[in-house]
Amino acid sequence: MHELSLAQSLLDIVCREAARLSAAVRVNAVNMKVGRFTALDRDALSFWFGLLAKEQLGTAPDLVIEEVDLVVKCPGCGAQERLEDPPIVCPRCGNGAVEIVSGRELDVWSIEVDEPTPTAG
Amino acid sequence: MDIPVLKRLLAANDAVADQNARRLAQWKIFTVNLIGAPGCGKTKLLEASLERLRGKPRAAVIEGDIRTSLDAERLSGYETPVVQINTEPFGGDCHLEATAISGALDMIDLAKTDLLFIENVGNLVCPAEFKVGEDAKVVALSVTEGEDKPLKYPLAFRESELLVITKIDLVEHLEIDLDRIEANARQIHPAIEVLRVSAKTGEGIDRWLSWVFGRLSKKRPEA
Repeated sequence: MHELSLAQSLLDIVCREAARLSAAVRVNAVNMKVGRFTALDRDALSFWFGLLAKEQLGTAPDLVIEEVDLVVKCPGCGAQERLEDPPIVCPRCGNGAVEIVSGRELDVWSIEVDEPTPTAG
Repeated sequence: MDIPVLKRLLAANDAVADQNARRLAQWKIFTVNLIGAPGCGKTKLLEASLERLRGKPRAAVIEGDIRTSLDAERLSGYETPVVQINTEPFGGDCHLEATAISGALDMIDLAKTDLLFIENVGNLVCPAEFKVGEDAKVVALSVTEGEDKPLKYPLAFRESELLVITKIDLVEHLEIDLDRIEANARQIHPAIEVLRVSAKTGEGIDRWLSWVFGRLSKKRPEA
């Protein structure tokens, strides 16, 4: 289950980013972008992330995963198209040497934190 | 308040993988990350390879398994350094990560190594997502696994430069079409190279080693 180690990486990134804002900041949600062409079980990642966050942060932020389409670009005919299924070839001209434009993302996009409370002084 | 992060989840692993790659490049070591399902014949392929190589060029092996050093023991008789990594102490990880390889490289005399074979944990899914510092991923698929596997586990075939179809000595006992395996792999990765081998009979092992030598000589053109 590599989702456990990915969940820990995710939590490490979230903690580091949160600490840069303020030591006491509360993270309410984590937004990720995950490509369709990745070896990731989203439910398993959410499960492990929730478990680790509870243990290490005391609270589990919502994990919001936005799926990114698999899009290929053909150097031959210039087409840029979304693929739903294999084959991974240009859907217009059949060229196999397509470049993957998106779909391999495993990105931490943003974190949602509480507005800072204005403090006197 | 939404705070942008814009970080790749695998950035930490990839940074260590890049360090490993630089270290291996310093010694011009050609490194294969061999992936494939449990029992597909990865260790047997390495046994047959080391048997032929006998130290020329000088190979080293890193063996990844969840538990046991059985594979390292199998490969111990070939005058080749073998380092066993067990992922079990870290929770039985299903793949090798770059940090594990970094530690294993400390145990190999890199100055006396030309080729490094990293045998990943038997798994056709997770290892495809993790760089460890290799020059090339190679995926092994045995004839008993079925023709559909490239379509079912596409990432491993997309990320690999070479598909080695193993155990071809068994074909006569099976209803399997090797051309179909190749065609399916090319649906996922049209440029993938394909070799058919039997480590048992030795068929195709020369072609596999030629591929390795070809890539090694690209890495050290002066040799």
